[in-house]
Amino acid sequence: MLTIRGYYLDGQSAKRVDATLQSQNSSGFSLLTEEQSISIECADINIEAALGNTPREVSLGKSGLFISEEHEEIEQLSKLIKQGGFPFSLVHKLEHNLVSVICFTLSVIVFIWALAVHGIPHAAKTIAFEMPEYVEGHLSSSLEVLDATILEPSQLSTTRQQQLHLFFKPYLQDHEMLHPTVHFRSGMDANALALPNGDIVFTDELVKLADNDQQLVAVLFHELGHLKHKHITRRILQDSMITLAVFLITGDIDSVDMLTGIPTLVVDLAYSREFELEADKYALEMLKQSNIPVATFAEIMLLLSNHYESDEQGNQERKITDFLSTHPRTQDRIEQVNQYQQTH
Amino acid sequence: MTDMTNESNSASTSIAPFRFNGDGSEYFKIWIVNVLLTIATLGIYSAWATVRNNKYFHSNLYLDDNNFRYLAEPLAILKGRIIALIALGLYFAAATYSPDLVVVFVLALFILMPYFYNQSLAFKMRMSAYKNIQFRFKGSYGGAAMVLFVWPILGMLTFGILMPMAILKMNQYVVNNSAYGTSPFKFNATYKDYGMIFLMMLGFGVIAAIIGGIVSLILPDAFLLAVGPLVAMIFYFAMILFFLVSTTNLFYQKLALVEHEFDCELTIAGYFKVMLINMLLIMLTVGLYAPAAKVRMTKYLSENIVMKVNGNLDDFSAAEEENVSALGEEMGQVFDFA
Repeated sequence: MLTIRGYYLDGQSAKRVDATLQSQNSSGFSLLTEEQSISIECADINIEAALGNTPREVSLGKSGLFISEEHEEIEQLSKLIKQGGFPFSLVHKLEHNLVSVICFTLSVIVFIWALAVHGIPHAAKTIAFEMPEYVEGHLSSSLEVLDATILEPSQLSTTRQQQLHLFFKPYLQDHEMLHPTVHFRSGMDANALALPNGDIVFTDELVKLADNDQQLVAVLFHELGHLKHKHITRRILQDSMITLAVFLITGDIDSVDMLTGIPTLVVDLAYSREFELEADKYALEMLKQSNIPVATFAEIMLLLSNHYESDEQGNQERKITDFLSTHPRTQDRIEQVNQYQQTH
Repeated sequence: MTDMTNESNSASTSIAPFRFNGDGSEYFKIWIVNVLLTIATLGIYSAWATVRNNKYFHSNLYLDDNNFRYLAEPLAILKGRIIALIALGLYFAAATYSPDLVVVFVLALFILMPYFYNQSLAFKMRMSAYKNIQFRFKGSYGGAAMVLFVWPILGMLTFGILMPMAILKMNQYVVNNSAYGTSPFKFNATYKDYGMIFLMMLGFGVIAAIIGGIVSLILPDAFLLAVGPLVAMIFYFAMILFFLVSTTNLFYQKLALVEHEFDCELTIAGYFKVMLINMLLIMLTVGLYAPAAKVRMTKYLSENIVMKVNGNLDDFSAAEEENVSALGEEMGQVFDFA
């Protein structure tokens, strides 16, 4: 005879009474309290699956609830009436097996690593190249938006602008399918950027920083590399995919902010640095094709890095920001130029 | 006569503590199994995972030696989640193909928001039980629209003067429409209570600005440029912490269930310690510490909240059955308004 001690709540009032659940001869079970004895049929018993060390819950009939800390007896009961809340009974076993927990942890780590390093970038790349152009245009802010917010009209003379447009023209002709249009703007420090619709922006500060116009062509090729490889679109896709993956995996929006804010940012920045190196590589190839010395690219990188370094407060800070930077270290980028020169 | 009632009141008032029995490593095991099964089933298991996670936190929470219970069925959550995901997919499709459709979609979402908000709260309450009696929430569309839109907008239009009122109205709406079985909750805070918190923050801001101004006259510019942003960040963080701790304390201090009251005594130092340890460990373990962090925070909160029981906790009775779908809850989560 099986006897389980616990307490009973009838579901009508919040009064809790000590109770014993007892198996009767073949006719089912009975619940004994100080005041009464209720007989219960097997079909009316519903055992909730075990969860950690929490007390076991047994629903009795429509609203009754029997709660007991006698875990072993409840297990016997569930065997007796062939219940146990599948699939949670199996899940509970997995949770209590150290080997399975370690295996699961490692699998999750490997899976997330593979997803972040291979799965998401690959999927984003495929989608980006399949995406119709007019959709791509909607994804990121246009030059009009940038003009209205951060960018200001260029202070360069019209002759200088035209001179550069003319100088760039032959190099742009090879890239007509990307519809590149060069624009000059100010309002930002030395920088260049490319938007998915083909707009390429040079800031006045960058134009002034360059020693010669060939260095600007090197930057132009770098931006064309971003366009060619659809980097902006891919980055937007990748970021939304990470967020979606985190939501699906944890299934718990509450924890998303704290849990994923930092790792998501780190992953996003790693993607960004990878894209920069890819664009650099494209620039080197194009320079070689156009018979411009590949070292030109290293020169403008060095100029840019010196320009920004003189603005930096201290070197200590630099080390930390490296890890959290959208761009690779100048040293690494110049190293890539050297390697390219040696191998080509 | 008055003396006698006072005496009998104080004699029957007892303190019932909240207690959280969960354990970080135990919850980690449950959590990691959930994560892997969710991945392996391409997200379908996530509904079961959610139920199991919520059950863990409900079942381990004790008040006066009785634990809470989470009742939701995974299938109900899965259904809600699928509908919400379809809606999200439609939204993205609309966003990529036509800006006009986005406007229609967002408008519809705004109109439906109070409804989903009510549904979400009703679901959360109905799925929570204590001593085998469920909680409940019954709000009105107009009431929800007032606290979700009208009061916050008034708060902004009045440059924050009515912001304490917006928070008060929101808490009043949620609490005064909630019940444990047939016994209603009541929220007794006033505009002044919330106004004081805002005024204190304003005061801190003014003091910080004055000190900052004086310091900037004395110290060299280079030093200020290096340390200034850091100090400003710490101050900003401290203000958030102050706001969080004061409003949470106030909420429970002014909360009542019929003749029973609550008390909450979180401290900024205590809360900060828990948050700092959690954040550092989550960063060091690239997220793996998150489940244990949730346990630590829940433990800290429950240790500092008590119920002031007037009489005993046996005299509650259940309300009638009522069906609430999980759709509102899932819509709220996906579109981030619950």
